Amino acid sequence: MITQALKTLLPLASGSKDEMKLFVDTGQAKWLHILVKRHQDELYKFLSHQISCELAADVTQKTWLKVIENKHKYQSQGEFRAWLYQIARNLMIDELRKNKADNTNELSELVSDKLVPSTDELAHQQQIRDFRQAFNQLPIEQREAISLQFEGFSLSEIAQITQYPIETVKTRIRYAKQKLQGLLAEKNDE
Amino acid sequence: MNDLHNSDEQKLKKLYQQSKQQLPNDELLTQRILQATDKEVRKRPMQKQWLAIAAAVLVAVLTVDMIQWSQNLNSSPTSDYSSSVVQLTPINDLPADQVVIAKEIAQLEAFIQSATAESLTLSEGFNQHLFAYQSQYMQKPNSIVYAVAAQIRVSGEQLVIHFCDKETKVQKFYANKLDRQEQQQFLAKLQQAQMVTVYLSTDGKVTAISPNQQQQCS
Repeated sequence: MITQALKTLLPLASGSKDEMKLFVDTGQAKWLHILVKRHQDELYKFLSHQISCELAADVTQKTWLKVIENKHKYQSQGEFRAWLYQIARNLMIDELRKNKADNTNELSELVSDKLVPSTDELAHQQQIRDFRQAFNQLPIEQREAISLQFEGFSLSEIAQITQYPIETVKTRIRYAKQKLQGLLAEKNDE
Repeated sequence: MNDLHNSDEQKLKKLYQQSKQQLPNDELLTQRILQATDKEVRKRPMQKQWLAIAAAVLVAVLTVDMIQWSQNLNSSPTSDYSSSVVQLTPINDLPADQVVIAKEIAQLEAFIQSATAESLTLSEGFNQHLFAYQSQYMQKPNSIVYAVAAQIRVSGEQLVIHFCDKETKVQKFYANKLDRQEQQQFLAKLQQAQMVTVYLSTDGKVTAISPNQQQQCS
């Protein structure tokens, strides 16, 4: 179901460049609002999966204001979604540098509200909780690289967003997956 | 090191998506962002008006002081700036309330083209005066500015420029960027038809506006 949802997002994302171009050309807020409504939730969840919800909300809002501020730079940037995530990623890194405190979420707080879960459901929730804990143990560079890949970006797009060479991105993703796999295996053994 | 099997990757990806889906939604965030972006976008046209005017003109107004200094300009040219003068922006499709400006710009275009056929020289005294303006108003070094004598009128948010001395040569010099807020504060104090000095950079932005003592076009 999630895969299907992602598939439906892709054509939308590819078409979003037109709205951004229209916004750049006309300056009309309605084009930007289409983009906000299309990408907002996805972007917020991408950020809040890596940093605290409060900080993610702050970074998300700043990202859209930055889109307005930098709209003249968009022309040569190509695909809007990658450009948007690049802005968001840079702002997130800035905020993390500023705050330095651990802003990652605690999954246990997020998944414990289900009502009377079944045994299977409990096991599934535990699996997700384990994943989240393992994910939070990754270095930020690996976390952002693998997150972007899971968000559907290509290696070259991730390289563009993070401003690192593709080979570096590949290595980070590989290490991230291996570490996640290792940590999840440890959890299973416990 | 062995790469993960594809099925393991898919499993990790699935867990990532499920983990993400369980994050709480911030229902109000989108509304806040729509409001914030709307407000920000509405602020921009006011700035855009300025830039539209500035981009079309690419010239600045000079003061009585400027006329005085121009008399001291060295008559022997030392630099040829003509190749750097940027073509004026076409004036088609301007809003109706900018027609006055557009007409003046159209007249100015021919003037600039003729003026830039000559090499222009700036006297040391003129430069010193401009540097004094820079220290007073500006921040960013080495932006290129053009200047020409003219009268400026403020009508609402419109900047109406009347080029009063078609014989004055277009001058070019280096200047710094005026703080936008300071510029707006100054403009708010302008009286109708007050004479001012406007500096525009090659990218069409108003880089500085300063008052002068001249009462009308000479």
